[in-house]
Order: sequence, then structure tokens, then C-alpha cells
Amino acid sequence: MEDAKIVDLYFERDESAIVRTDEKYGAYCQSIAYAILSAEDEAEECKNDTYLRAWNAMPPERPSLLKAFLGKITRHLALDRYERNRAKKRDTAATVIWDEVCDSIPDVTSEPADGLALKEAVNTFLSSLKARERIVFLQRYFYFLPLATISRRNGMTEGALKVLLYRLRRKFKQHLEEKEIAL
Amino acid sequence: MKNKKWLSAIGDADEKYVAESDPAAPARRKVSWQKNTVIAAGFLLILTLLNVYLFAPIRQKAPDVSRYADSEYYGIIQKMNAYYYKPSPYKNNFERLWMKLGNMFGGAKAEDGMNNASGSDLSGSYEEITDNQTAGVTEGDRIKRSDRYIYYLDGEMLCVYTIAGEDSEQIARFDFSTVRELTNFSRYLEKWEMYLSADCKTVTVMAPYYSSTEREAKVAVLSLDVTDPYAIYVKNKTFVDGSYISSRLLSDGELLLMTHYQANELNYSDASTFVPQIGTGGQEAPLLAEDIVYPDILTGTYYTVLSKFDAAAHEYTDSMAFLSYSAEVYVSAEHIFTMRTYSDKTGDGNRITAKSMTDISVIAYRGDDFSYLGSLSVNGSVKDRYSLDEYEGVLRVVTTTSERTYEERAGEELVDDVVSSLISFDFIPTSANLYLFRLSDRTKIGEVIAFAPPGESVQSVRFDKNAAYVCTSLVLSDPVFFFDLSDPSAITYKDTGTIDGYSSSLVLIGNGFLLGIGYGSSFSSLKCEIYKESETGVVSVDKYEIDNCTFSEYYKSYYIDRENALFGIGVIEHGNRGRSDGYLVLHFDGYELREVDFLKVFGAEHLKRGCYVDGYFYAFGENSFAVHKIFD
Repeated sequence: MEDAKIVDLYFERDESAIVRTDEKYGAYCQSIAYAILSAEDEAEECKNDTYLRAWNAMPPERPSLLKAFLGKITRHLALDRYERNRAKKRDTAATVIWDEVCDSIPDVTSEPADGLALKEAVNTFLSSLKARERIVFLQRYFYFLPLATISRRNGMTEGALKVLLYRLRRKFKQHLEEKEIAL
Repeated sequence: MKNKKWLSAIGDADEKYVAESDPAAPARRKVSWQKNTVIAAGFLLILTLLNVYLFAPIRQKAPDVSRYADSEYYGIIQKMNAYYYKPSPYKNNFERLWMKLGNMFGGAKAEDGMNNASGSDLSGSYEEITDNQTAGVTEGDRIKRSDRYIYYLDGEMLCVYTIAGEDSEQIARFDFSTVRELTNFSRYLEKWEMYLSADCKTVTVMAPYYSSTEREAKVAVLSLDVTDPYAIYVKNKTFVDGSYISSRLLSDGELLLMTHYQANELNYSDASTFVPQIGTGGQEAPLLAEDIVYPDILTGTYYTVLSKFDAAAHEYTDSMAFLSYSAEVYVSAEHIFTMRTYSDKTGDGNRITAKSMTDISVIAYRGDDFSYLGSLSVNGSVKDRYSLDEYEGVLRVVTTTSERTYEERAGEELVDDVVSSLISFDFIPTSANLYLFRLSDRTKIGEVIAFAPPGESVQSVRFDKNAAYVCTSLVLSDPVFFFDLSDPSAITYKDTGTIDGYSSSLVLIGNGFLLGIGYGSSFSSLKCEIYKESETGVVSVDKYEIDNCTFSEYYKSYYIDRENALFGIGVIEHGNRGRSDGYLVLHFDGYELREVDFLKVFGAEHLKRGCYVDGYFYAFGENSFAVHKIFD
């Protein structure tokens, strides 16, 4: 079913919207959650929570890219759950990425920036990147994909990918500092 | 904890809303509120106060700032006040709380309002090797040269090389880490660029850095005496506020293009917290209100600041600021064009369609002072400064049009930060437009609407007199368009049709040929392709491709030598050819585009540079240098 028709089902408060969403994007949402949590049962729960969030969000929101819309919700839910697991010393594949970003925290000592400014800063940073840079950056830090997977998909060696990601993290840090955005 | 914030930011999330997503939090508030209400019901006085609280109308106006009416910045204060004010969607607190409770029972997270709505003998004579966008307007770069020496910025070193073919060598270097004022700060080395004076005696380096003591981005303008390459010294150093965008070399100094951000603690009684500070050496003062241009509705509270700066005299000669404008600035021979993109919303009931629009302001800069001439608007957004061009009093602009459609309900808040954070990503490219404006009165005199296939966006643009060349793409396929602009009222164009890959840069190489540099069949391939106009369309003459490599998309890193038909580009190969890091040199003989050399130099692709002198090609990278003879 086309995305627009699925969104219409949400607007009509037709519960089959969730069934159609699951058929089309269930595996996608679960893969995002699994990449972060490394646990099938928890990824499944995140996926189901995503549908609930989507149900409550539409209406009023009418997403133009339903897939990305759902993916962002899933990621947020999974990241929240990961943080709770981490507090219980339960490490997953995402732990490597969690530690990887330590070198990219902006050296700005002011009060933490508000969400709108942070959102704008992230978007302007992403728009400044080359297409390939943006792809590998988001595959790593949005989708939490392993280096081997990203390097294979983008035709790069793991070494080259590590160097590129290091440069991008450094550039993101610089971007936040220039805008005086603290975390 | 900051790792979590960093990762959440990538998903565009608001940290406080993530914390509020804990299901236990709203439930606790509900119980507490009901409990308080029951207790309050027992006390008439408290009940009266509660009623006042619940049913008194919520103030629907921005805070009163009339006490600042005497301030010369009153106009800006009013705009900022309006920008930061978010009207409540509720009539009173009762309605607000009722909606929150409804959302709790519906399982969604309650939010706090709709806050996301929105020549000397020693030095030699100067040789230009930077491919400036506008003839006569010199741009800074990491490489400059005289007829004797090549100067290259390698990290925080200025390296000087002799031009002597195979006997060339590095003869001197200057270490900027020895500049005391920069020692303890983050130096944004990748953004550093320099100029070589016409007499080749002075190198002026623009060195952006972040001062953690002043908690702001700054630029060190460092003038080095290079008269004797063996005895280079800093003869002038000035430190200016702001985040560096770019600069140009003028006959009477430098043109600085900067972004200024307001202070974290906004205080309308103190202009220094919300107006750019201009000056040096502790003599900074807020820019005059009359030199600030701002739109009716702000889309951000940052300024694009244009300044004429005399590095030798350590002083600004004039400045002008544009509030809510972007960092894309085009400088023609006579004018500066600043830009801001915003969304134009039209509604049919609750269904809103937002289209991207761009305002372009025109500033004359050749006199003693800047002179603001006015602005014009176009549909769509401008990719970069190469999408604009001034020729014979006419401004030509190419835009990508995009739009977003959504439902809007008065009185209902967006469900959560995850949803609202998607807004900025939801503009979908629809096509591309080309506009011509007569600059004298900024009247539109020609246009081509929706010339690109549906859903494509502009990837690269170049203009040459009465011709325009545009590459659009949808993922990894592109048409390249050739426009004839000689008659603005009857613009004609041809295109290649859909071909593999797309050009992220277009280079005019003379004799009617156009070189496209970009991606081939995948995002891990480099494709350089020569195009030419035919009677029926635009045809590919020849192309050169490397698979499994990464390459620089930064235009200034390319070496463009039209006279000798040589082109250089920094690449890193990941295949099995054993070449890895290097600078690729191509030659076009009118029929065939072929590789003539691959010089092994190291470092990031976009920081590598090269140049050709008298049969030899010189390449520069991170702590590396190579020279090969390529022509007899």
C-alpha cells in the first residue's frame, strides 16, 4: 500500500493503519532498534511502541516520508531504552558508538542549548556535508550500523571509513562550537 | 551523559522531551494534580485562586518591550521579541490542562506547549592560480604562488617551496602554533586560507579559531612578511569576532564575510548581547542599527556580517549586517549578494502547504562604504554561491524548488519532540527554476520554471556570459542543461537526458566544453565527464572514471588550467591499484580526457592542492610534496 494511503488510514482512525505499517515498515523499524539494543525482544517492544507513537501523532502531523518518520521514532525509543540498559551495565553493539563520540563533545562551557537551536545546528551541519559523507555519518550515528557494513555498502575500506568518520565528528564538534552550542 | 545528548541530537531530539518520555513521569503529575485539587476544594479561598488560575485568559501577546523604544535597535528588539515568543494554543490554563490529561489517557506524552512551530627581486611576481568565481575578485586559498615560490598551508604550517622542476624543495616553513594568542585554543585548520599580495612580499592568513576564554568563534588575521622566505615573520596580527565564512582581497584591504551569533544570555538593555560587535583590540562596539537589515519575520537570530577590513591598519572601514541570513554569499565585481531561505505557507482549511523561498539582498561595495540597494525574492532555495551570477547588469539565479504539506490544528499541540523534529527534513524537492533580474530596479526580466524532471534538485551551476549550465539529479542520475540566456524573454535550453551519476561541480574549460566532476554509478566512484552542446541536445564527449575511491568535492581544491587543458583533483583510491593517496591530473586534448599523472601526496582529499609550471606538476598534501615532469 502506498504511504499516502497508510497515512490516510491514520487520519480516518482506522486501526488497520498499524497492520499496514507493520507489513511495510515493521522489519525496518525492528532493524533500527536491534542495531542499538542487540536484543530481539526489546527491539520488538520498541517497534510496537513506535506504532503507538505514530497513531498518536497522525493527525495532526502528515509526514511526507513515512519511513523516515517511523525510523526516527524507533531510534528515539531504542536510544532511551539503551541508556537505561547501560545504567545496568548491559553493553551492546551500540556501546562502541557511545564511546566513539566522546571526542566530539563541543568545548563550550555555556548552558546547554535549547532543542530548536540544536535541531537547526544539526540540520545545517548535515546540509553542509557531501552526499557520501552524510550517508556514512548517518549510517553510523543514526542507524548504528557496524563499520564493516558501512564500508562494504559504500565501497570503502574500514580504515578509510574510520578516518572519514573521525573527520566528520571533528567537523560536527567545530560546527557546534562556532555556533556556541553546548550539550 | 553528553554522549547521549550528542547521539540524540543526530536524531534531532530535544533532550528534555526524551526525559519526559518516561511513562511514570506524567502519571505522577496527574496523581499529584488531582490530589492538590481535592485538597483545594476544601478551602474556598484556595478554590477561588484556583478558578482564577484556571479560567483567566492566557496572555496571547509577546512581552512588552516598549521600554526599549528609545533604543536605536528598537526595530531589532521587536523582531527578536516576536521571534522568541510562542503564542499559547489554549484560551486558558483549564483548556491546556484538559488537553494534557487527554493526551495522557491516550498514551501520548504531554508537552509544554507548541514550542516547535516554527614583486620584489627576492619574492618574484604574482601568478594567479586560484580559479576565482569572479574575475578580478581574488579569493583566499591554501595555495598561492609567485613566479619563484609556491606557498602552501599545511595544517598550521606555512610552507614555501621553490619552483625548480625536479630540484624543487621546501626551503622554509612558518609555524603558526608559535603565535602566542592562538596557543591554547582550538584552531580550525581546515578553514584556514591565505592571500599573497601583488608584490609577493606579504602573505595574509585568515585563521579561524575558537576562544574558550571568550567563549566565541574568532578569526586571527595574520600578515606575514615573506620578502625573504628564509626569514618569515609576523608583521601584523589582528583578532576579530565572529565565525569565518569567507573573504575576498580588495585593492584597499580585505572583505570579510562572517557569521555572528547572539549571546546565550539575551539582554535587550545591552546591545552587545544581540547585535554584532565590530572593532579590534578591545575597541569593539555594537554595529549601528542603520547598518542592519532584517526581515519581517525572523527565521534565526544569527547575522551575516560584511566588513571591509584593512589588515595593515588593524581597522574596519565599514560593516553591514543581515539578520536571519545564511552563510551563502556571492560577490560579483560590483555587488555582494546575501541570501536567506524561508518557507512561504499557504493554507486551505487546516491543510498547510509550505514552499521554500529565498530573499536575495543586493549591496554595492566598490565605494568607500557599503550601500544597500534592496532585495528580490525567488521561489526555491539556492544551493551555493555558484548558483548566482551577475552579467551586464543582470542577476541570474538557479534554485531548487521544494515544498511540504501538513495538517495544522489550532489548539492541539504536536505530540512530541520526535514528531516535531521531522519538520525540517520534510521539504521535498519538486524541480528547478532559473530567473533573470535587471539589477537597476530588481525587476524580473526572464525565467524558466520547472525545467528539471520532477523531484530533482540542483547539484551544480556555472554561468559564462550568456550561457548557463546546470546539473540536476535524483540520487545517482543526472541531466546536464545548457541554457541560452541571450534573449531573457525567450530563454532556450537543451539537455543530455538522464545519464549515470551527477556532477557536484561544473567547470568551464573553454571552446564550448564543460567539465563535470562528480559521482559515477555509485557514491564510491569518481566521474569526470566532458560535455558539449550539439544541434539537438547536450552530448558527452568523453569521460574518465575511477571506482572505489573518494574524492574532493571542494571546488577550490581543484586545479583548473584552461590554457594547458589540465585539471587536478585530490583523491584516495581504495582499490588494488596500489596508488592510495594522491593528486590526480587529467588532460583534455579536445577529443579525449585522460589521466596524465597521479602524484602521491597524503591527507584529506579536500586539503590537497596542485599546480602546473613549465612542464612540471607540483602536488601538495599533509606533510608531503611531489613534483613530476608531465610535458616536454
